[in-house]
Amino acid sequence: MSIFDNIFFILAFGLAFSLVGLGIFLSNKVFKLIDLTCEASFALGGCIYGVMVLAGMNPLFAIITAMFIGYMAGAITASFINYIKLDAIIASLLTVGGLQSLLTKLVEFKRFVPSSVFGNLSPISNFILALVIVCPVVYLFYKLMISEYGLSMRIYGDGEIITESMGVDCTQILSCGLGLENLLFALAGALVAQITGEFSVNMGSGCIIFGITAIILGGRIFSHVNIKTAIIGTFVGAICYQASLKILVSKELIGVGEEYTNVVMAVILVLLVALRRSGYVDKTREN
Amino acid sequence: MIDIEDAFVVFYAGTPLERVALRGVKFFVQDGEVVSILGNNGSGRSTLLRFLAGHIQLNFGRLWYNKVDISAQSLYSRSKIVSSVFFNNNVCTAGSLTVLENLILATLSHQPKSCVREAIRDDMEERFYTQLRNLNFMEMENLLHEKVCNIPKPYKQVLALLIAVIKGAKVLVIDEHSTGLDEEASHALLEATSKIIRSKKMTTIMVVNDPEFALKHSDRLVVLNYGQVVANISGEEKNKIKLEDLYMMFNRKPKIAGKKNIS
Repeated sequence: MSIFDNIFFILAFGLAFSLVGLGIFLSNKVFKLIDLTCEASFALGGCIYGVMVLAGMNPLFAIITAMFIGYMAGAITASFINYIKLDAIIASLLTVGGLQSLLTKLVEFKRFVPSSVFGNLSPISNFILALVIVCPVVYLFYKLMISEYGLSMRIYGDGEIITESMGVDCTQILSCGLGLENLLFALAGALVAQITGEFSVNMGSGCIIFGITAIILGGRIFSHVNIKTAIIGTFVGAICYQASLKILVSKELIGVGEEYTNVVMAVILVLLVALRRSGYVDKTREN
Repeated sequence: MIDIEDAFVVFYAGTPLERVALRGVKFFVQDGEVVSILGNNGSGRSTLLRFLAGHIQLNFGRLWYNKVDISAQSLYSRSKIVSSVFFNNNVCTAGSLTVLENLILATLSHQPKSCVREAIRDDMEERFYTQLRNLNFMEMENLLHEKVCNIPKPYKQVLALLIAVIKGAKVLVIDEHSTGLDEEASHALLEATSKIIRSKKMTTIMVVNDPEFALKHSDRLVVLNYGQVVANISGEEKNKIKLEDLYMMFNRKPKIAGKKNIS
């Protein structure tokens, strides 16, 4: 690949992963709970998109299906939390477990279809595709967050008692919120499958770490004074982080190799947090 | 209006840690009445208020509101009727939102919320700015855009009161909201409280750590001990009573100290 191709490839990748940042922003910062479903729904989005496109279906239809199924995955986790009163971590672990085995079955289909339809777009057209899909989604996400419904989502993080006292239905708001979060993840997964031209059951591993780092990095770039700067910060932070990560790990540039991706991510997160704690980076107030 | 009938609240029922907090509390509150609950620490005052606000459920007994049994209602439906101002203000205001956002959310409570319409609009801001200025509480109108977790405690309590008023709740439950404030702030807060209660004619059930205030501002005094009502004073009797007599009542033994068998 030429240098331009590389740049567009990285930017398209960054755009896809900015949705991961927004998803984690929604679950960790707005709802203030840890939702592990996202790793499975990212892979789910990628695999469903991949399998459907390989089977010769319309890519747009495949993306919409992936998003819908991602939404359902989030709603399942939310219903575990709402109706069985499970802890968020355990509820999402259950969903992840179930989805992983479904995914393994799904990916087996791949063998029976030709793989020629896939990955036939150039990096530039991939970048334009990602731009056309991601930018409206981010804008709509921002519009939702500042709407009345978004305001009632943001109160959930302060605890169930105050949420219900304010006349907001916890059950409904949580299933919508987690559904939306996993929809974003499934969309990101589908985009990544389109850009890289490959998909696997484990493609979602490291999503949570990625999202958290993107939020922290975004907070360094734009301090989180209100919801607008927080969303823009997360968006920009995710793109910057993904770009630097790609440069650090890809062998074609200066990197150490794809197999070390998770190590590099962990080191970056630790360094960021440690620098913030020790006061080397300026301490602007978050939240 | 509110009729509490044989209310029993037992924590950790059926274990060695079992603790009976309320043993058959029974009293009646009329529409628009201001009731003060008095008693020593551990007499069950806070438990009573938490159960009225819907944070905990009764193990036994009934709660009637306008002849409708609301004892088994969830917190979501209870909050249509009852609003609370508690010492722990995390349960009555949202710390991560600004004062303005809290007030706006209160106007939307129990109503369908639009996904498109912006929550913070200029007309809303103006309306609440005027409302806070008319309240005239320690220049609170300047804090409209501050996050609630960053503002001083008296403001949080006033905000909780305002939320209750804006939500249109019929019943207000107040639990020691002036505790831990300095004298000036505590005085201002109590003044604002009685002003709001009287102007909106809200039925109020409150615990205040200042018996003098309770005697002056409430229509009925209910004294609890060992989770039971030991005195229920209202009308003429309440006008005549002195502070010392009231303190004497705090240690009055309840008539039946027996424990009801709860299955």
